Amino acid sequence: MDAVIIIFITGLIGLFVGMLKKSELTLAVTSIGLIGGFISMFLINDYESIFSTYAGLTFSRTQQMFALLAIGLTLLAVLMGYVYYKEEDEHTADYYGLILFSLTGALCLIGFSNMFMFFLGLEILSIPIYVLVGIQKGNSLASEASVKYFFTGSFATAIMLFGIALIYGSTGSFDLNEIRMAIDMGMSHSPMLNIGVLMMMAAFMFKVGAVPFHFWGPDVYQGSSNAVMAYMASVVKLAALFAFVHLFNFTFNQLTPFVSGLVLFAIIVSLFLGYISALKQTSFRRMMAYSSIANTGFALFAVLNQQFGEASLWIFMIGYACSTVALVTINMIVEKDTDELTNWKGIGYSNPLIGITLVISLLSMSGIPPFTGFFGKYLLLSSAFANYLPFVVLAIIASLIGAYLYLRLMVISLSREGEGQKIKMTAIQALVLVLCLAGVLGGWLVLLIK
Amino acid sequence: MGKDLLLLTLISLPLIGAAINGVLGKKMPKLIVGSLATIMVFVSFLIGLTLFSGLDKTTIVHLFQVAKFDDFTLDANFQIDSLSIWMTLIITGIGSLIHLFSMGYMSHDEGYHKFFTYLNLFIFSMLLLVLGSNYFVLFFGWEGVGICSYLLIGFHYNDAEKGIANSLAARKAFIMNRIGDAGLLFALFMMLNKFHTLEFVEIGKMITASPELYTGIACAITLCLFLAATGKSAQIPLFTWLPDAMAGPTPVSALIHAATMVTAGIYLTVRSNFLFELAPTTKDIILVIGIATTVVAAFIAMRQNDIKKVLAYSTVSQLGLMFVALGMGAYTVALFHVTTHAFFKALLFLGSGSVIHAMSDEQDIRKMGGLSKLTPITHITFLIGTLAIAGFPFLSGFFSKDEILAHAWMSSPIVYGILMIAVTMTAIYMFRLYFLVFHGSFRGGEKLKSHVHESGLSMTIPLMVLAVLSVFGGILNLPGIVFHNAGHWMSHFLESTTYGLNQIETEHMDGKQSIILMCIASVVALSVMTWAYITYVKKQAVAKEDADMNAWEKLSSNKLYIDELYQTIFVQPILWLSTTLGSQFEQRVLNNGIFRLTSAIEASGNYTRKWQSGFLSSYLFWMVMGIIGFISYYIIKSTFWN
Repeated sequence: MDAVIIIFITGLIGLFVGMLKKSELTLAVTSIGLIGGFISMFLINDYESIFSTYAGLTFSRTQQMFALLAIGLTLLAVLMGYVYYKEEDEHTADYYGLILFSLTGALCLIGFSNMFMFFLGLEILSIPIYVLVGIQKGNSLASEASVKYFFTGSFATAIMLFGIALIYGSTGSFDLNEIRMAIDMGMSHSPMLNIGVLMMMAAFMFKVGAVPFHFWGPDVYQGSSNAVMAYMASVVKLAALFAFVHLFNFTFNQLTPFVSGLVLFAIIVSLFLGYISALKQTSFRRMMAYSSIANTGFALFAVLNQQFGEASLWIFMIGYACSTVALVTINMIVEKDTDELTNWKGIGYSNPLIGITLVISLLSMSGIPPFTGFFGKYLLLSSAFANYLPFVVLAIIASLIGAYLYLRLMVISLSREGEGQKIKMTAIQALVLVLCLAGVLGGWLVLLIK
Repeated sequence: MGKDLLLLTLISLPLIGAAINGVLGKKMPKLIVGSLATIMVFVSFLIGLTLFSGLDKTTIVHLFQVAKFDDFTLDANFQIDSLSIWMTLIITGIGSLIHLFSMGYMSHDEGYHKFFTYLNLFIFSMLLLVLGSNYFVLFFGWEGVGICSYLLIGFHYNDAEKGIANSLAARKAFIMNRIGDAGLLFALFMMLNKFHTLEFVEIGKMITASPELYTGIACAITLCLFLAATGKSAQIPLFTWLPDAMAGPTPVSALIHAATMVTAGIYLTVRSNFLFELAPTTKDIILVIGIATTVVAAFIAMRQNDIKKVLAYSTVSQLGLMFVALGMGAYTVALFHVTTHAFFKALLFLGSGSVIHAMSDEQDIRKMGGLSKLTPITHITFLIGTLAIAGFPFLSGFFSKDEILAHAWMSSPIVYGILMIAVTMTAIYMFRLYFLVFHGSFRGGEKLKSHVHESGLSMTIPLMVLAVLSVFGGILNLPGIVFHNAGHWMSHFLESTTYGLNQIETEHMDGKQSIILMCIASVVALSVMTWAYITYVKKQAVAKEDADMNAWEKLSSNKLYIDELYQTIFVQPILWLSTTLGSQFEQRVLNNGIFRLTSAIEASGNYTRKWQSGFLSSYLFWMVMGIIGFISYYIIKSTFWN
């Protein structure tokens, strides 16, 4: 609770500080606020809050872990965006403010325990993103992306509300516990409830970007700046996936056998469509968009795993998000006028930090041990192994195509052709790369603690 | 310090030495590199002595758990008992002498620090092998010594002339050993399957409790273990790698391929004595293989002209002798021969190293001769080694060989007879070697002669120490004819705390018979010596050139054509298969198939991306289609889901 408030207030203060047009100062305030939020979230159970507790927003151990990850990833996005946004003094503070507001929504989406909080969180998370995507006003691609995202997003929101209304109509409650009890009492075959759940699932699939609700992904990723894209690929996806998994594992757990067919279908189609479409892309960000669709496919296995779904998702997301942020940061460093993949030629040799981060991130994305990406995929697939064997096999085949995709990017960046070019990197970008590298290399060590 | 701490220090010191030399060795002066490695091993030896003096019962030191499975665990445990400590003393004792020797021998070599890193690593692996309290740790050590042996045989892989040959020799050793290792792994799996543990003592206890349950599996396990032993200890059919392994630097031949690593197979058998006792068939096979190896190797050794090859075949032959002892169930006797053999064979190899060093890397005995005056210390010590191995009365080899012969006599006169032939051949090739190298006139030319010099102190001290040990080593296990109480000290020591050995009654021959056997052995040794003296010194016979040889000599000189046989039976067909698969299967099927597949997948990307039309209306259309799909799913599902 405190963390949410700290981050929200920091966002407000940041907007005022932004009037001074000193981007370093804004960054400092934002970072301090994020670190403060992180600490208060970390110690959430260890001190007495001055705010009275609100039953709609509670953080269990797992939710706390997800919230910490979200705050940490936001910090990375904020740091990497600095280089880009300091050139536009007009918008620096807008950028930080919007990201912090969006994070507030993400935290609500992680800590929700009734449908009010859930819907509020979802909207607070999304609306700043519509703005952030279009924040480069001169860029026509950005405006197009923003409008597309907004329209499809509102559509999805409407569907979501429709679903919530149907669920309320059938169970008579917004509270997750009460809904669950109602389902346990024998509601599970009520058509109204089932349709409501399916509507919610459709909206969720839009938010996480699974097929066939994925169309916004490539256009929006391409239109937005690197920093916003990194934030979307990490925090937004994390929060939406968590809410999805949490809702379906905890509240609608009776319905898992009912929805499993659709989820599996979405998984397989997302995996194959994502990876296969990514193969032919020439733009880095479009490629990452398709790769994110495919990775969503993997993450959705968590929906079917009631026992360890959330924990597996956490490990998977730390691997995926850290690799993605690292790659996007590198793209930001090497980007010239366009974000064509040809920019990447030979950059593996330009700087040891870039080279190592690049190789390890890509290996982790391909699912090669002992990096975090492997453990995430392993946990997700191993729990699905017993019940959904054919789908696990298909997922592994798809992940082979994925490995081909990532290794090809590695081949491009390690080709001798562009060797020797000078690449400028600021200290903050180096810091982001080091942090991501630490996450990719050591994120799975959390498994040992649990 | 407690025993466990001492033991851990003992094991880790060589590893620390290897780590320091491996990382920093290149930048340190040679003296420091060599001394560090030597001191590490020597301190280990001293710790070994401490443990030896305080040895009263079997102690197991638990270090950590490696892995845990449903019905068994794999632990890094170490065991202190008389067998492991005895082997430790041999390894570290002889090891430190050979380290000292190498400091002089390798002094002109570029890879000085690398050499000592490998040597220390070898000592560490060997200690793991003998000190582990289960087959798992033993396997670690087993593979560790294998890789060190490989690295050291191919040590001069970039030598201009012999580089390729050295690498091939290393590869051969490695592959031959892998065949044996497969046997060890099979044995391990069978044991895990049957006993659910790999601890020596626990398996031993299970077997002792109800031997009749395990007779069948014991036979299978011991056969696999023996296969492993034939690989490491160079027995028929896997013995051809050892003579080739002489491509490595001479101290390596002394330490790894004569004194320590090749006795690992004997150690393994003695350690698993409780299993072998249950499998009389395996023991018979060991006996037969041992006899065959000792005779074949001794026969080949008679007409080799490379000083190290002679010693290599001699090693194979002596190892065969040890396996004969094992086949007869005389475990402590085999270990006694391991010990004395370690003394005199290390001495002989180091002596040959000193000769080679003096001769500027010439190894052909046809080019030597008359070295006794030029290298006096090497000459005296080499002579002692020769006398010891040939069974000259009252030297160490005399006693240990006599024990084996005595056991052979007790088991069957035929075995005894065949062994006597091998022993005679041993004496012949050793005296031939000795007289050709050290007597007569120098045959290497004046230019080479002017360079010949006695080696430095770091090389002669180990020679002298080993010479003393070779002379008096027999005291360890006197037959007990004169001093009844002092007799068989080593056997009793080993039987005291080694599991299994204390339950096996080792028969000892009575005084009269053993005196007769000793006399026969002495007469053989002395008469061969006289014969060799007459042939090679009085008549000045020199090793013949290949063209002048008769059929028997050619057979010996060409190693019975066993290498050629293996080449035809195993190597050629595998090479053929490999090239065929490479050109046909890989190029045609795999390569083409994979390229077709990847291009098909990439091409399909062209279709899937068209779905992303860029029109908002199309996106919304598909979203609506998705929702309609969801609802239809519900309708279908709710019809069947109940």
